Amino acid sequence: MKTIKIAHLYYDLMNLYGENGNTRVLCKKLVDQGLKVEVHFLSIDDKIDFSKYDIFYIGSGSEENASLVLEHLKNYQSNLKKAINEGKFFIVTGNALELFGTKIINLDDSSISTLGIFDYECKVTDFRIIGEQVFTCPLIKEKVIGFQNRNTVINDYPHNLFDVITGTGYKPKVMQEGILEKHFYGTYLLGPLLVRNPYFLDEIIEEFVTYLDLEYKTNKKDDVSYKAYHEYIKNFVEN
Amino acid sequence: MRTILAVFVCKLVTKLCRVLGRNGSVYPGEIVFDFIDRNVLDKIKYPPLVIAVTGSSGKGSTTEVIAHILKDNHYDVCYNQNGSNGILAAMTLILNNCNYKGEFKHEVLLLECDERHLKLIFKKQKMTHLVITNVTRDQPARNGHPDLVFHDIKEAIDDSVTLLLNADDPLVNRLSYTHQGKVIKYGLDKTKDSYQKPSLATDYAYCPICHKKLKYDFYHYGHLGSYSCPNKDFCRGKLNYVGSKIDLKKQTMLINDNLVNLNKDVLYACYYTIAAYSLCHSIGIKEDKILYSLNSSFEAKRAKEYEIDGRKLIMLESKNENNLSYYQSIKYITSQNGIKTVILGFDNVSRRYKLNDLSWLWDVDFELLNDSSIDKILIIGRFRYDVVTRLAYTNVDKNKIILVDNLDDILGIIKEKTKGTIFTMVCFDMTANLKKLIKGDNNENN
Repeated sequence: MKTIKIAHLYYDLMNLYGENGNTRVLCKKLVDQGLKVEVHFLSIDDKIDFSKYDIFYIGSGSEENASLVLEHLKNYQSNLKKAINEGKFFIVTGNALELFGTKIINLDDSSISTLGIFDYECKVTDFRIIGEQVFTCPLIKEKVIGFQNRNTVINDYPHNLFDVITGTGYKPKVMQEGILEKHFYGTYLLGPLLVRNPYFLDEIIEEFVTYLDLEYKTNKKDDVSYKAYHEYIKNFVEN
Repeated sequence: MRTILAVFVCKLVTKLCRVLGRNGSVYPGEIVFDFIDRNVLDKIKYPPLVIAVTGSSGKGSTTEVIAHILKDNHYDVCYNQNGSNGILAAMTLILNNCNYKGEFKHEVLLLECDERHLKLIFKKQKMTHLVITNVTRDQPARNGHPDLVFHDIKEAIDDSVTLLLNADDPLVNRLSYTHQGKVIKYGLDKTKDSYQKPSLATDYAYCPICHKKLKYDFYHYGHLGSYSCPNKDFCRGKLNYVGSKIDLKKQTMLINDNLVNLNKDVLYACYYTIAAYSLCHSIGIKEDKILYSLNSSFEAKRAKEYEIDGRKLIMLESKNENNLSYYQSIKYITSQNGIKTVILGFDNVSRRYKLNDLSWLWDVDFELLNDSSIDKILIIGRFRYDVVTRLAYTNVDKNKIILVDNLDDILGIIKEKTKGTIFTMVCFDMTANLKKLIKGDNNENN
């Protein structure tokens, strides 16, 4: 049996919002599919072999930490691009999304060049965008819920992951959010996105299992996260 | 002239608040700030000792202990006893304690300060001493992240201030590398509860100078502990005040070889005690006087205790959006003797704002609830399914978890399905609801 390897990247620098929840649920759901799973925690003192892993996850960090991560990731720019183009799975939450565009433009118009994987620019704002978000996603029929706490906006991107019902898109008054390219799922939504959105997680797992040419098994028994999701929708979205 | 008006209005509005039965610790300052002079605190003539205490947690307790020692040693000290610690509360307190010339009337101003408001309260050259307890993740919707808090604190500091730093916190200790004024460092030695591996939710892990990963001899909790950079660029360093031989059961520790009584059997009591000791010694109070003050008649606020069917119920409050507050509660519960029932949950994430960011639940080390002395865990509140989802990713036995769908049923469930001492470790809103139910039940039974 193939062992699925998940790389939780920069777990000790990009870890502001309970990001460990995402790798935990990914791991559990893959085990539920009958797969053997290993999670490797990697950071700036490690060498990253992008060919070795099947799924990559990276979460939110302070500006200082994000700049350390950017410097480290720049060593792997071409390998990273290759892995994304080959269809490896990337889940990117919070301000880690800023690293994958072309540059971050500061308030004084100076800029930092980023990884340039996708063609978007991030602009630092003099305000923070903080709040609950309700989105739709073309991949699933259920809504996606989450939280943002950020100080950048994205100009625009043609392949959005989400459409905004309530909350903020790439920038205020824009109704699109997130990046969907092959198996790259990137969003400003922070923290345990996959825990709070079990249907979205199921979609990613199904896509991943299909990508491996295996049969996807529906298995929602005993999982209270669906109940948590529906309670939230009942109390805060439908009310 | 404006200062006279500000002092007059503040005192008048405070009196009106009291006549109306209002607390009045913030509103008078708000009136002055909005309508008279938002910079009035810059114009006050401050006393020779202006002590500020800030940090993510422990600042209230530290301030209390400092005030106790100062008062015991006959200092005329004015401090924010009620715990209101933002700019408006500081303005109210300071103006109410000034004469109409804008001169502060007491010998010492001691102020617990909100970590993001410190720079607004004390602009340059006002504080003489600043105690920083720690900087950790807390209320991210309000505070952003610890780095932002750190930079906000830093903005309030100039070289005239004497810094008293908890050097166990590397983020706080960064200041000792840049501050040109006097720095006094305190910290705690390894205890029997110290551990070697970091949690996944540490706020600080790398050397601020060379960016190598810090090596820890031990952790106390979060990123607090004893650390050093492998390149020797940064370390906890030599401490001016060291807490050692910590014995929480006996409630004692040594501070620089002097035996000190702790007024609580928790590790954070060591931190607020040593912070206060360091500050008071640094302003010239003799060690024997400090020890006398700490070791005689100094009671801490106790957790509220109730009885249900002859069983003790102890109310601990855990701050949502603060993983270390939950950590302290769980550590306290598991350190107590006997079989326990634990109550956990919340209706609202915050009482300050209506935002429900649940990410912090995954930063809390709930694995610690996997303890053989815990018989049942009752989960309450609107987010009970989120809490149960989180617990599903620990080794806590599922059969120990009881979901309480209707809070009104909780006393019946406690009586019928649980045993041992009951500990609540819920946030403020649920504490109030539970108190109401328990009082109702006690009245019925009397």
